[in-house]
Amino acid sequence: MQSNYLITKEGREYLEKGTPEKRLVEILKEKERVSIKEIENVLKEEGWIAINWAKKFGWVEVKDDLILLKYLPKRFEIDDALKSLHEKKELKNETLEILLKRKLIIEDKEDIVKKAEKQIKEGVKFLTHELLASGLWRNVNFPKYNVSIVGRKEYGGKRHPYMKFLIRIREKLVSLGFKEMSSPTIELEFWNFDALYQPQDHPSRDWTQTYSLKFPNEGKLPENKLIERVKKTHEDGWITGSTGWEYKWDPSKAARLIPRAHATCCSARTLAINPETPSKHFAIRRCFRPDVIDATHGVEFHQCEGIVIDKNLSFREMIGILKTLTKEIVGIEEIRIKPDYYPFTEPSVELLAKHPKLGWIEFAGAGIFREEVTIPLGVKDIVLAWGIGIDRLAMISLELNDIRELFTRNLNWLREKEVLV
Amino acid sequence: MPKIEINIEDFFNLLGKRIEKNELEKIFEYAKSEVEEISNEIVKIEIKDTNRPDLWSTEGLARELRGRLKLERGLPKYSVKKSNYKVFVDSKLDRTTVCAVVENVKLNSEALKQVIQIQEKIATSFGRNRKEVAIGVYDKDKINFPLFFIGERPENIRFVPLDFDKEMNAIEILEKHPKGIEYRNLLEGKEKYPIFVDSKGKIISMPPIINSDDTKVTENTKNVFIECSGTNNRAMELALIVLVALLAERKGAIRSVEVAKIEFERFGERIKCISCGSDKVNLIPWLGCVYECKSCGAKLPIVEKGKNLKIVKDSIITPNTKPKKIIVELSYINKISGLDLKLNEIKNLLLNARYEIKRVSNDKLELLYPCYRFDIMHQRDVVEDILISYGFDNIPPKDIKLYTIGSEIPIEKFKNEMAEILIGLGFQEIMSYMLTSKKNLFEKMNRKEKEIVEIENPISENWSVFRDFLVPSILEFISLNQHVAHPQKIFEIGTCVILEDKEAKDIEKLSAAISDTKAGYEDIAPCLDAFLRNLKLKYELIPTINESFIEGRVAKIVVEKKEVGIIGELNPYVLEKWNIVFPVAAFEINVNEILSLVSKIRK
Repeated sequence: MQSNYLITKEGREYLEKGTPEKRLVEILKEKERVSIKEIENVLKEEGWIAINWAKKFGWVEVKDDLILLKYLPKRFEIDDALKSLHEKKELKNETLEILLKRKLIIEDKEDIVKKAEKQIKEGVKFLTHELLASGLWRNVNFPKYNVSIVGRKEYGGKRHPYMKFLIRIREKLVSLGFKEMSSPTIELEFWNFDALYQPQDHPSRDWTQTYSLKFPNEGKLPENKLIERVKKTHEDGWITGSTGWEYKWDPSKAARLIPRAHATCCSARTLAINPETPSKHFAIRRCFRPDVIDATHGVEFHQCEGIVIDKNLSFREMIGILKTLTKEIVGIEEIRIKPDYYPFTEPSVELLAKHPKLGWIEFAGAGIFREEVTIPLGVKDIVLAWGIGIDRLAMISLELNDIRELFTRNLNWLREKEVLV
Repeated sequence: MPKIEINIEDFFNLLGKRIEKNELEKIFEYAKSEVEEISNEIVKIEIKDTNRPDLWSTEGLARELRGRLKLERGLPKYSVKKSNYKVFVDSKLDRTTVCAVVENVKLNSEALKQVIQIQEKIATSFGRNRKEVAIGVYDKDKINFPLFFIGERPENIRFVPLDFDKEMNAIEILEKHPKGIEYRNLLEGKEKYPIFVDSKGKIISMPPIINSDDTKVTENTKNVFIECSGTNNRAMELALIVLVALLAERKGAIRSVEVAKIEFERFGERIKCISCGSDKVNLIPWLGCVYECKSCGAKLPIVEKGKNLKIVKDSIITPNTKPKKIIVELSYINKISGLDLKLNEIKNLLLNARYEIKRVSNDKLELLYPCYRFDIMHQRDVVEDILISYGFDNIPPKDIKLYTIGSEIPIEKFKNEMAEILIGLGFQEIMSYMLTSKKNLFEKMNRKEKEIVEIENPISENWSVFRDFLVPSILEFISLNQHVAHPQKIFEIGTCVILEDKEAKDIEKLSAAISDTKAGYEDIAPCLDAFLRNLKLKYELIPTINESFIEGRVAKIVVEKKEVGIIGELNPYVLEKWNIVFPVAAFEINVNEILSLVSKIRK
């Protein structure tokens, strides 16, 4: 294809003398700064061509009527390209484009016609650039294909189906007016447990198994005032109207670090930084628990957590929000709730939705945050909290029976899996 | 969450009503319980409330549900008869005890199972694996009061432990008995081990390890002695009340036990009563101290301090089965429930939850609730009980109409944009675990091991550290797809956890790789170039050395003088370690850095 190009008169000149910008740089190499006038004297009408290109490449700088050398190029691409073309070497398409633009080369029409004629003579299989550019395609009958055959398989790239599912839920919650919250993977026990009124060394902290860390195992607790309030609330209820857990709270236990065991840490952190009233927040976070791995327990899992804050919210609004979420996220209208237990919410409920194929599925927990949680964190309003076991929903949506397949290692499956609609 | 097994016929008997099998599930919801499995007569139940041990038995569930089903409402009544049963506790002991006797109890095999089951569950959870509380249940007729809870050197402790047929000393018990092996860490290193001794000098148990075999309860046991011993008073009290209330369901009559702390002093070889001087005295076995004078009838305390022994504290009488009190406001109940409940309605709902109203003054209700409830800390807890009685199914939902503006975290949005560029370049997204092994991160990557965020109690070495580098996740994926059609172009955007000044920090990273029969720098570099051009980032690739990549074919990616990533051809040494037989070229980029650079440049 390269021989389709002819070097123009200007191009031939540059080939001989070097491009104006090269010549400019060579002048500057010796003097470092030269006046424009001087350049005009030496390079004549090519003076401004040289200055403009050298400026564009970032080699020179124009200050008042002086030209300064800014950067000494190691190679001159245009000069090299012209030389290569002259020597009938292959050139990159981008380089050809530049040369064409600067009118240093032109397409060789004669060559194109010759090539097209040659193709016709040899028998045309494909429509080619030469056939189109020469107009000779008019003289050609294209052989018919068996169009029911595809040929080779093409694999484009696409999102991971599970990621796509999580993104859909994120988008849904944003559209419902929820603001996303975040929290670090390696979390203080304080935020994972203590701020959520889960007593130290007590079964109410055992509702979930947690990992502990070999290193690092201790972090910095937040400001003293908050620590003091949480401590008092655990010990005697402080001003929350509670008896508290009646034990001596130990700050060193709260300062231990663990991998986040549930996404509710995000809610605790959000409540501690004076959220607006009313407001809605959510988080989709990866969580870590040392469960025995099986079809329903993965090494890691995602939780989707949310809170709704307002002055006058009750248990009835709690059910209302769960109904809305089920409808919007799962597309199911029929729900049921039943009593459940979480140390940080009271009342606590479990949410079931009636799936058309699977029947009643349990997929979320919810409740109203206890005063022992909200008041020490500085929130006087009612806070409704909910958490969705999002992996279970993902499995249903992606038609998987084993939770471990969410993090599949099977490239074929990823390539062939149909997209969400 | 505690899982228990109950016998359904036994449950119906205690409940006083038969329930259809298909309704069982719904009934148990009242007790926050879930039926996991029904086979023949055995029902496996999961009780979700980890803070309500009073529900962890057939007896407890029946008691709760009699209320919810309106078969027996209000407070369960317990009368505790006074008795002369005494337990003396050595004040030097690092633990104490609370005790009770339940007489004329009807222990069928189911009741026995429940006692053993709940004992284990409470000792494991509230007892923190028996560290804070262990529970002993004995055939009271096999022991002679008063009892002594004292410390003794392990070599002197000899008795036949439960389910064994020969006498062993304490050291042997810790070495050979299954419970000894399981819990010996609680006693190891102590000079003296705690034992319960009866007034005839018989050792009846060595808490928190094991009881003696001959005092064990059987179906023939009529009278039961219970001790809850340990270091956590609240948990000990809870364990005792829950057990006593359980046995009360089996028609037992509760009798109190006096627990007194004493200081012992040896009086010399010849032991005399301080009051009358007589040497006809009953001695505390093992310690040789006087606790009763047969001649003048003097009982503890009969001596002055420093002479023989002395009660150091007022004795306590256990168990305390009196109902507890809480005050709730009518307006608060309606605010939280969202219902407009009248006093009379509330009263009825409370009776079903086994509460009673003692007094009403204006908005305030003074309530009594059963002694076995240790979970009620706030009036909010009472509201939940009212709502459960009301029935969650009967509560009408109310829509929330709040205008709020939603938004996502900027980095999540940015991650999606980046993924879109890579997908356009033909890369397939993958997702991997953040947990991995040191072997994957270091040895297989030809990297020197360094300090990293590490789990102390991993379930497997395979998932014991947090990744600080994304390329190993990609290589693992490729290694498992060697047989799949090439070229393979894959990418992952995921969280890594790095250490910065010894502190763990999340870093979002992106890695993309090409693997094919021939895949090299010239294949991956244009992809990186396209990627960064789409972000309008000017970059430089500066040769570097990285042991995971081929020397001379690896570069640092530098944007605005900041190193943001690495690109290169994977070292064949590394590929061989992963059993990868197709070359791989890859780049990895720090997404947080890139986002801050993009935001800075575009401002």
